[in-house]
Amino acid sequence: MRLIIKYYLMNTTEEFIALYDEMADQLFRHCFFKLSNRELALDLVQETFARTWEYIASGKEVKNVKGFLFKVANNLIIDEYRKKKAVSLETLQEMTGFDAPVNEHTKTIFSVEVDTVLTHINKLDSKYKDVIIMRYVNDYSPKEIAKILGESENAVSVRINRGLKKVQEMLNLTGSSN
Amino acid sequence: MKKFNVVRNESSDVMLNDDERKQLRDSLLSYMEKVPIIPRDDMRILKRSRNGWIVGVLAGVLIAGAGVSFAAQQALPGSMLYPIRIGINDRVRGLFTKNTKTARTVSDSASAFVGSSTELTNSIMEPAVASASTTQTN
Repeated sequence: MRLIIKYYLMNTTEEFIALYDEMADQLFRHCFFKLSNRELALDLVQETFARTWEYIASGKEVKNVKGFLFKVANNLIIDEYRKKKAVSLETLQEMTGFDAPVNEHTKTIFSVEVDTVLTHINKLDSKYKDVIIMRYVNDYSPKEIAKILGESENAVSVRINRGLKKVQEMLNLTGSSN
Repeated sequence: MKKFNVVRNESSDVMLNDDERKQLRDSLLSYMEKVPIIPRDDMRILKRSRNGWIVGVLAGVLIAGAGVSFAAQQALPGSMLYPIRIGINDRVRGLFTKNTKTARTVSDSASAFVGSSTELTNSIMEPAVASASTTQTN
């Protein structure tokens, strides 16, 4: 019996580390594009995995682990927004734009075009922002997004299209639509 | 739409660098050691054994109670189990009987009581009568 439990523990730990290897970049991107702060995004990724592990370790069952990770990350992002309520995030983005992501080999800076689009995406309601970031930043298909969020594929597609339309309208207003 | 595809291309470069990845992985591993997992199977076994105890004790109480009640069914006045027969068995039988049958239940109890009294009287009187007749013959 002890052997079985030991095997179970080992298996769960290995599975969780494999999940980290698979999801770390995607969660990092998700947090980074919503917070526009690399250090904060790193902290949130770490906290997201720690909280998810704590939940699993307490014996509770998680049916959709990827969905759970995104949910925890989103809750942490909301907490961050609340903490920074004094300084409006939108004002901050308008003033400074996005932080440049640092790659190991090269320092990548977003083009002005992408920076503008991202700024407008961040002005959307979180229900549109989440699906657009998942679709265009993390490159998930609508079907994958639906599975992660536990919603229908149709609902996700409609939301993506509405979000895109809203961003397009904002771009038209600022005169940067080409 | 073109703009969004450009976002997709440019954002694919956004990722953890090797140092960050390793650092996060190490801190996650040390956190996992600090907060060990409680295996679900193990907890199920604990739960099952706890339930097993409760079920076992309840079954024991039920069997013992039924046995005492069954033994009290034939108890005579003066025996240790007679109060159980009058206080519990007869009352329980009365509870399970509807109004129309109440009279029959009461009469059954009464006749049982009379029967047991007769049995008791006989058991006391018969040896006494037998010994008296033996004395007279002598």
